[in-house]
Amino acid sequence: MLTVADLSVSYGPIRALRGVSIRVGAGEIVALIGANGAGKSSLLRGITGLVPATGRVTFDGRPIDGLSTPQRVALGVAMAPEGRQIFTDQTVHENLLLGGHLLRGRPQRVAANIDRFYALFPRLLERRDQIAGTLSGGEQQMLAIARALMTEPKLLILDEPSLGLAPIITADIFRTLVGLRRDGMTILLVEQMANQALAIADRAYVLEGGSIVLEGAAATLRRDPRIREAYLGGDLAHHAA
Amino acid sequence: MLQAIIGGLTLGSVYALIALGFNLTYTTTRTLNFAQGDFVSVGAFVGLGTVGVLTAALGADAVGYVWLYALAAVAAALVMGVLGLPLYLAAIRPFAGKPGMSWVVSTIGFGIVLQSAALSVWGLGARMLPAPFGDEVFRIGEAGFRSQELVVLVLAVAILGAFDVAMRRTAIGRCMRAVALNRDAAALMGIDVPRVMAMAFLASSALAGLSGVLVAPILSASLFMGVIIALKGFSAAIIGGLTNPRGCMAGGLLIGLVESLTALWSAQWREIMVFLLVILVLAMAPNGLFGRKLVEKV
Ligand SMILES: Nc1ncnc2c1ncn2[C@@H]1O[C@H](COP(=O)(O)OP(=O)(O)OP(=O)(O)O)[C@@H](O)[C@H]1O
Ligand SMILES: [Mg+2]
Repeated sequence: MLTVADLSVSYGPIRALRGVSIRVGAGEIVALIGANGAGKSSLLRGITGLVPATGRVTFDGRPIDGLSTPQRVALGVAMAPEGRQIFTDQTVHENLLLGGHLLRGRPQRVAANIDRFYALFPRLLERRDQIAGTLSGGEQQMLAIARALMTEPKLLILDEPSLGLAPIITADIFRTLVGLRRDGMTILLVEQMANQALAIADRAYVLEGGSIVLEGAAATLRRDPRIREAYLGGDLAHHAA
Repeated sequence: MLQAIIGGLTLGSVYALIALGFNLTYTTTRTLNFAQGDFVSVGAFVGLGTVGVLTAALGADAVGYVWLYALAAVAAALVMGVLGLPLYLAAIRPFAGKPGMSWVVSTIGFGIVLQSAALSVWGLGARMLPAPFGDEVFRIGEAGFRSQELVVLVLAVAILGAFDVAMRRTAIGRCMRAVALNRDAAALMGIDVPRVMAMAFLASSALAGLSGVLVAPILSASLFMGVIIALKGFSAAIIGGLTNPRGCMAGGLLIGLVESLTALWSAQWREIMVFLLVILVLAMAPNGLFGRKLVEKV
């Protein structure tokens, strides 16, 4: 479904991403793990067109690297960005309506979608008219995901959905992702909580210093000593604390 | 006193329109149109020109002057609004979202070009645009005021109110606010961000053009009248808070009132008091009375 070939992203003199190639097949959950500053967000921003990038991005068999972000979104690439970035000065409902922007002119379909995601996240329905900036972290992440889903994507990209959330809430969100995949969604998941991400993923890539250093089946990577040491150790320590 | 208050609110409501224009472009693009004053002046002359052309074409009394004036106002808003697009494309788009303040120079430059072009058409002189409901002075007790003051006040307040509702209740308003808060997140919703920015410039320029036609019957129009109006509009936005449309409106009314109440006592002190007010407010609240600091995401 998504093929990224030799993608590089630079910020001035800083080369954040150095010729990365990844593939996400239809119906897969693919995890992307890596330490702080490894270039995970840069890769996602390159895929969605939020930063200029060199290399090729193909989606559903079509090159999309020349397209603007809204054009890529219209083709079915959605992202819940790092730090959620919901519209904090608007209500929960208004945030969802904004997700329906591309379907303007079809208000019934937008309303049906909103109902669907209120059913998926009943907490959002309870807080329908609350200003989004006053939601709890977990609720904000639900809103970020629901808002991304409102664009009716084929591929849902998530940048560290667990950021700043209690383990119980994170587990909740991950269960939702598994449910979405069961219903046919394709998911690219960036996480520092490598253990949990690998538990729900089919395949995974490990990014280090802007390059892919490891890839393979998630179950295999989970047992890989290099991964255990570099990424899972931190996770376990975190839980123990 | 009442007279001064009405006069102050009238001018203030015009400053509020200009301040709202600054708010629209600042929040969506983090830039300001420093040609706003020229848009006001040229808007007034587009209005004058429209009245002239229509009178010549239709004969002096074919339709009531009120209608001519209304058409002139619409024409000024449309023409200046459309001119906001080349302003955005030429003076803003190359610089928006990048560090640096090149847009200050580029918008001033655009204003100079616009003013020069208008000068070559209309010349240096001041002109009078007749007020749609005549120049009689109405009296309420001691206070006397002109019909145009009420026209300006009512129209400006109606427009400000309509904007306020539109920003809160319509899809385009939601998009503007989304772009104002976070461009990347807006783009991820499928919103065409440059288009929203262009619309902000269109709306802000249209407001300036309309303001020109509104004040022309009060101040007598020259191609230099806009500068001071825009400067006060800018002060209003600074006082009220550039990021807050309602704050901008309140700032405009406040400046108009201060100006006109000071004039009761001493005409020379008018402008001084306005700028003292700006300094005072900024000393106490650097982001204006109702503004907030915008954190620029890189
Ligand atoms: N806008 C920017 N300007 C300059 N450098 C940047 C910018 N964004 C990211 N970088 C740099 O690029 C590198 C990769 O950053 P990126 O955000 O992609 O990492 P990440 O893997 O997502 O990290 P984290 O886990 O902390 O989110 C880092 O060294 C970072 O400092
Ligand atoms: Mg990141």
